[in-house]
Amino acid sequence: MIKILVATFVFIFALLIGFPIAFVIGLSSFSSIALDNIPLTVIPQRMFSGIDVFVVMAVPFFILTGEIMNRGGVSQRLIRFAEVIVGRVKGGLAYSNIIASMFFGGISGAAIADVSAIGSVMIPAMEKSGYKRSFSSAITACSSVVGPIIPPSIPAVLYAMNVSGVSVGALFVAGIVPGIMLGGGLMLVCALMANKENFPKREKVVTAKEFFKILFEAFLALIAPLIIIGGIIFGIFTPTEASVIAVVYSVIIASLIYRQLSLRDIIESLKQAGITTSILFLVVSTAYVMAYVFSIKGVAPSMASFIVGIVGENPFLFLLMVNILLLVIGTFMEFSAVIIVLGPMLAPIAVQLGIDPLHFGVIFIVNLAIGLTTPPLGVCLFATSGIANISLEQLSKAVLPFLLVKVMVLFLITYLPFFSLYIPELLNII
Amino acid sequence: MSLIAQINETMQKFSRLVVNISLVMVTFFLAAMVVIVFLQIIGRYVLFWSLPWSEELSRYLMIWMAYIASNVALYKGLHVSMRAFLNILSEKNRNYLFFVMNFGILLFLTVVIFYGYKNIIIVSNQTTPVLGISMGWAYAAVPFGCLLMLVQVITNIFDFLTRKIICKEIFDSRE
Repeated sequence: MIKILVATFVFIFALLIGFPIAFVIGLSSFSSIALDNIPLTVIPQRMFSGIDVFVVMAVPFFILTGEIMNRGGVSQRLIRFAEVIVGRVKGGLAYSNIIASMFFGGISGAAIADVSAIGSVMIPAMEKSGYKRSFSSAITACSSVVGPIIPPSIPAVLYAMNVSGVSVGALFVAGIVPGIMLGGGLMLVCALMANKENFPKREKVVTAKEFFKILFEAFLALIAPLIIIGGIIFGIFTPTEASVIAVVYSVIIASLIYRQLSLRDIIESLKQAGITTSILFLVVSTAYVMAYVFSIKGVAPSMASFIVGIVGENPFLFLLMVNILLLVIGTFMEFSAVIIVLGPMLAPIAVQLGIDPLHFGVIFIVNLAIGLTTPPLGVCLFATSGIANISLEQLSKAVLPFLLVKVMVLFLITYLPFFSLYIPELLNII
Repeated sequence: MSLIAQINETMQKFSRLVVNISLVMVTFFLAAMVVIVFLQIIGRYVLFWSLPWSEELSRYLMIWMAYIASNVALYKGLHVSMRAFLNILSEKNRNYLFFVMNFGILLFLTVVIFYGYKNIIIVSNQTTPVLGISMGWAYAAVPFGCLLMLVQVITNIFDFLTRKIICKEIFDSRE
C-alpha cells in the first residue's frame, strides 16, 4: 500500500512542478518498480519494445505529411477554398476557420499542427476584418480538435495498436461522422453569435475563373485523405504504407503542381517531423513502462470490479463514468499515454457490457480530443495562446460556449452508436 | 573566469554540436524510412518482388530516429509538460524549480542508460530475424538516446550554476 502511495505521490508531484510528461510517467513507474525489487532492466526493455512495431510508423509519416503540406502551401489553399465557399455569409471567416480545420484534419493527424497551420493565418486575418482576438483564437483552438477525429488520426493508430478487436481502418472511417458533427456544432455556435455580435462578411464577389482555380488546387489536396483511407479499407496498403503514400503524394503536389516546395523545405520538414515524433514517442515509450507496472500490480481487474461495483451492469452509467473520467484525465495527461495505459483496461469492460468495441474507440478518442481544449490545462489552449499572443484566462473564457457544444456532441456520439457505426457498417468493415 | 563558467562554455558548445549532428541524422533516417517503405509498396505492386528486410530495417531506423531526436526536443524545451503551476511562480522560483527538475530527469536517464546497457549485453548474441545483425544494435537506441539527453540535462545544470537562469528561453521557445 505504501509503495503505491509513493509512486502516486511521485506522479502528482512531478506533474505539478512541471516535469515533461514522459519523465513524470517514467519516474513514477521507476519508483514503483524499484520498490518492488523487480529488475530495472525492464524499463529500457519496455521503452524499446513499445515502439518496436511497424504500425506505429504511420505516426511519423502522418506528422511528416502535415509538415510538408504546410510548407508547400497546402494549408493556405485549403483556407482560401474554405473562405471562397462561406466567405459571403455573415461570420464567414469564422466558418472558414472551422471548415479549413476539418479539411486540414483530413490530411494531418494531430491537433497542434492544425493550430499553428491555421491559427497563424486565420487569427490575424480575422482580427483585421473586425473579429475579437479572443473569439478568433478560441475558434482556432476548438476547431483544431476535429483533426485527430477526422481520419487520418494519430490517436486512432495508437488505439488500434493497443486495444484488441479494433482495426485502424475501421476506426478511421468511424471518426468521419463524429468529426463532421463536432465541426457542425462549432458552426452552430458561430451562427448563434453572428447576429448578436454583428460579424463581418466579405463584400467582394469571386469570379468564376478564380473560383475554379481555387477549387482545382484545393481538390488536389483533398483527394489525399481519400487515397489514404480508401487504400487502407480496401486492403491495398497497410496503414503504414498508406501514410508513406501520403508523404510521397504531398511532396509531388507541393513541388510539381503548387511549385512551392524546395529541397530546403523538405529537409526542414524532415527535421521538424523527427522532433515532433520524438516528443510523442518518448511519452509512448514510458507509457508502456507504466502499463507494465499496472499489469503486475493487477490494476485492471481491481479497477474493473470497482467500476462494476459503482455502475452495476448498466452500460449507460458506465459510459457516463468513462466520459467524465476521460474528460478530466485528458486535460492534464498526454493523449497517447491515456490510450496506452487506460485503453486496454476500459475497453474489455465496455465489451462485456455489450458496447461495440469500435463505438467505444470513437468515444475514447473524441473525449481525449475535447480534453485538448479544456481550460485551464488543455495543450491546444497553450499552443493557441502562444500563437495569438493572448492570455490563457481570456482564451479560457472565450472557449466556454464552444466547449459546451462539444460536450453535447460527445453525449450524442456516446449514446447514439449510429453516428460512429453507420459508415463502417455501410462499407462492411466491422 | 571561474572553473564552472569554463566548464559551462565547453558544455554549451558540446551540446550545440550534439544537437546539430542529431538533426542531420534525424533527417537522414526519416528520409531513409520513407524511401524504404515506399520501395516496399513499389516492389509489391509494380516490380513484383518483395523486400524481406524493409519492415525490420525501417522499424529500427524509426526507433533510432526518435531517440536521437529527443535530445533536440529537450534542448529546445519542446517536451510536453503541464505548466499551470509553474506559470504562477515568480521567475526566480521557477528557475530554482527547474534546476531541481533537471536532477529528477538526470536520475531517470541514468537508470535507463545503465540498465539499457545491461540489456544490450544480454541480447547481444541474439540476431534479428531478417537482417541477421546483433539485437544489441536495435536495443542500443534507447540508452544511446538517453545518453544524448543526459548531455543536454548536464548542460542545463551548469548553465544554471553559472548564470542562475536557464528556463527563460526554454519556456519562451516552446511552440
